[in-house]
Amino acid sequence: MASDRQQFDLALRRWHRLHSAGRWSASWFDGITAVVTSSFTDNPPDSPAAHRELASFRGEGEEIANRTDLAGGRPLLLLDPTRADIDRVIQDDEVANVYFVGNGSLSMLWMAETDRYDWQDVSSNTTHLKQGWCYQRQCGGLTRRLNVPLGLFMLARPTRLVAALDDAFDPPSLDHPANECMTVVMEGQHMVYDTFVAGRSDFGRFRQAAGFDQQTFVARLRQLRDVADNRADEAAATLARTLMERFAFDSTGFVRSHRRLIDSALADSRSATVSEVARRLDDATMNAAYLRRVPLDQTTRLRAADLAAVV
Amino acid sequence: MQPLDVTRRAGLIFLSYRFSQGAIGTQNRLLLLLEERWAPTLFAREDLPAVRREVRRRVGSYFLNDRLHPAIALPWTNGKAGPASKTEAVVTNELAALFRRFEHREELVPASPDPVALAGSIVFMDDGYLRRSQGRNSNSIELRIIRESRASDPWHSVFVAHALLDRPTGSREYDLLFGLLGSEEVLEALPTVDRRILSRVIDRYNERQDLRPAHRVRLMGTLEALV
Repeated sequence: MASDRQQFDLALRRWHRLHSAGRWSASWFDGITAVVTSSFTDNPPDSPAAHRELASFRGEGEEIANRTDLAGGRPLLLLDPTRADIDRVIQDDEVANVYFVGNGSLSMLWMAETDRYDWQDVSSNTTHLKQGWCYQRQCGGLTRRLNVPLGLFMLARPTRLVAALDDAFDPPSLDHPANECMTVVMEGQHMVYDTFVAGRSDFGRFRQAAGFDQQTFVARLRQLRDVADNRADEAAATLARTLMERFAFDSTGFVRSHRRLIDSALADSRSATVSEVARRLDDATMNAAYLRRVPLDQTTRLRAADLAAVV
Repeated sequence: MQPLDVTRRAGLIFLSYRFSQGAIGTQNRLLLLLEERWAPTLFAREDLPAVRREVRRRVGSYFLNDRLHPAIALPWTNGKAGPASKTEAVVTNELAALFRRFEHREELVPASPDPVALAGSIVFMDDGYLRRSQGRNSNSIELRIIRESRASDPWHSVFVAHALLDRPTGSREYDLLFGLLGSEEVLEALPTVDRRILSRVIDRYNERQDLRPAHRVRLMGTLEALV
């Protein structure tokens, strides 16, 4: 069996081929909006909870279709679809936008207890790239080592994938505030394997948290590394310690565990280069946000602002 | 009165977003007045699906273009900091709500096609922007709206430009509508509070360096009539 890197590379090559060949769907406003609601419930079969959940999925799908119609779009509602139905949606170039509704994770939609529609299924069935959006209205858990979003490889623009990234998703209605955890997953157009590997990336979600866009944030971190690399030991150690103090009020276990590493590195400044310390700070911040253990709130913004001031 | 074709109807609905400046109440009043006076077939059943489709194309193409529409609404309720990007779903929900309101007119009961009320609400929206430190270039903390680029004219006032200085709107119907809103009859009927707000908006507009002398004189005349 191919490794996940090989599967990813294959999917990416296929995507680039379709891109180069200009195989597009209809435009987002002319094309069909397909609404796919899964019939799988993770509640006990025939229990009231199971019936409620399935009714909720169907109700949500119907409401999305109604709104699409009212708003001048062309809805196509697929309640309780089969695998072949979803294949057809993906292969139909009249379909420009796709909503998935059901149980699942960032990378898949449950179809049945032993069956799921996965990002590889999307990739292998894709015959063109959709010019619209893909909304994944299932949970967005990062449950694997490689968490490629389900609909990613069917989209012409990766920035048009919306999901409850790393979050549970069970909104009582389409307008409930719970919907606000639906977010654009990819901020850039570049799809790189490492982006989707657990712990290695934050999917570019630092944009608001940092008070500036991800590109600027990464540039700042690079500057930080350069500063740390080029300074004399004492000054660099001071810089690193200052930064660490400013990061210190972060209370998550994840960051605390990194802090211990940083502390031990700083305790023996001869053995630890400051660039290593800076790297660890970088990792700790990225990972903490990625795992959603740090609410990306005022605290994070302050820290980012401090960082910007220092470098 | 000639019935309007699909393109004209869609164009009028599209422009209601621009001239209402983000206020649903203002938009309802605008569309109700247009429909009552100059566009009776605006929401007519005939060809309505085609009208909706064209409105979707126009509103979506404008709203989803960050250069043309740089304002982004941040989430209200959660502290998560995901990118608050604009998506097709925002357009769909917005347009579905608009067409649903005009399908179920009872939801529009507080709004009426009264030109005095409409003039007041447009002036109120202008004032909301012009009172910010950088005019239309400012973010709004209370409304949780950020702007990612600058407006071409941060001190623009819809009411002053189109109702008082007769700047063409690009639509015959809206030109007639703003002509009515800027008429002596409507200005005189404005309640005291709206007159005070309009005076403030005119004062701000008067500070512009590029204002033509003739326009400045006109605005001074209006200002005197208001106080």
